Amino acid sequence: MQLEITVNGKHLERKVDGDQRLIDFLREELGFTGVKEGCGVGECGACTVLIDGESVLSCLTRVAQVDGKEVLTVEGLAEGEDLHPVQQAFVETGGVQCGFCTPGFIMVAVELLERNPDPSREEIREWIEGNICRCTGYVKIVDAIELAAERMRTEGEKVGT
Amino acid sequence: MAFELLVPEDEEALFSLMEEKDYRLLAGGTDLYVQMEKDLLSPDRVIDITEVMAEPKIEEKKEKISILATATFQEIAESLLINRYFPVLAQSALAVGATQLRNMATIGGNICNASPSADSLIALYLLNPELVLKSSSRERQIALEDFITGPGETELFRGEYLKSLEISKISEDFSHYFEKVGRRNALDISVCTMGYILKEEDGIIEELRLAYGAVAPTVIRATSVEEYLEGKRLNQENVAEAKKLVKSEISPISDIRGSAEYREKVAARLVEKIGNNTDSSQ
Repeated sequence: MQLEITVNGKHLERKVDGDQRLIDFLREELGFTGVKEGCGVGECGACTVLIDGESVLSCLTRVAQVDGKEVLTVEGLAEGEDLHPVQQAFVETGGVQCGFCTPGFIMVAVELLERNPDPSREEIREWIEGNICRCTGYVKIVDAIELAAERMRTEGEKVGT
Repeated sequence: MAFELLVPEDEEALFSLMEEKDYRLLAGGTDLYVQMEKDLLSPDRVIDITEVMAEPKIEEKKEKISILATATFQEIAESLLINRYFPVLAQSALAVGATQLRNMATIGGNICNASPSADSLIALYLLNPELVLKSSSRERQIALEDFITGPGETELFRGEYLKSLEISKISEDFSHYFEKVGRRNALDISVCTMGYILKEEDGIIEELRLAYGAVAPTVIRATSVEEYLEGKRLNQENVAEAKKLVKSEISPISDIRGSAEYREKVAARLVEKIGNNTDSSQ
């Protein structure tokens, strides 16, 4: 099939197999290897990307389903050398350890802050409950999202694209 | 394994695609793709029905609320109409998976998969929706309890798709409750789920609807418990009797999530929640 899609702000037209997994298309065809495969069956959240602003699992999505839509991966967040506030906060608080789960957490956090600029710690914990991290114990991740939220509120920066 | 994934844009195209080949209908994909990944299903053709549906997904129609099959659990959990009229449905939607899963998974998918542990089915068994099924030649309505016939088994015919659910509004005097017992809060399949809607007058139960999941081949209504408790007070003696009745209603199995004995204990214990949390929706 002929796929028309916008990935990280760039409009693309490609001939693809409609049943290809979105994660494979993003990683192997486009080189966005920030999209990670953990479990492959929707239990770990590592492959989270935003489609039209909503977090979805790219391991359980096939490319024919995203025809005409906008996909955002972790690679599309920074503006030049400036990291997105959520990325910057993960770096500063120690929310990243081995880093494998990080892109998934960042994408779901970006969605949260777009919808709720001032979440409580409990609301943050609930929103990220579909993402698994085996290093941090989650405390630093919640700290990072809290810090990003605070900075984005005070700086009035816009989340996402 | 390779398959043909098609995304028809209208009903006519959908019906013609359903005329041939071994197909499965796709909405969110959170269950279908997992089953295909595990080789439990291997259809030649997968048909995405989401483009066929017109907005709005959740609509008030006089005495009823109509929900399109492709409404996602996030949309249901956040819907003002659902939170106002059917808090138990909003609560059960929020128990599904986690954020990303709720953005993808649909209520129609949950119904057609007919899993005995499907979270939203608890609420739906309490609310008795009529399902609207459409094929190229006719549209019919069927009650949810008649539609689901066993684990993973439904009355959906070849060439038919589930279009929407119509739920009659219920009295705002009901209190609503949903509880999921599992090993992990997110993304877990339950060991036992329970939900009820309850109307009390001066401490006496006027009407009770009680449903259980993951303890029988389908979600069930514990009708003997409902009948026993109606007209009574929730005192120790009545609750003890209700616990015994629950055990006679269920037929749990042992699997990797829990033993039959454990499930039976949990199911009986959950009876104690009736009336203790009269407004968990707030």
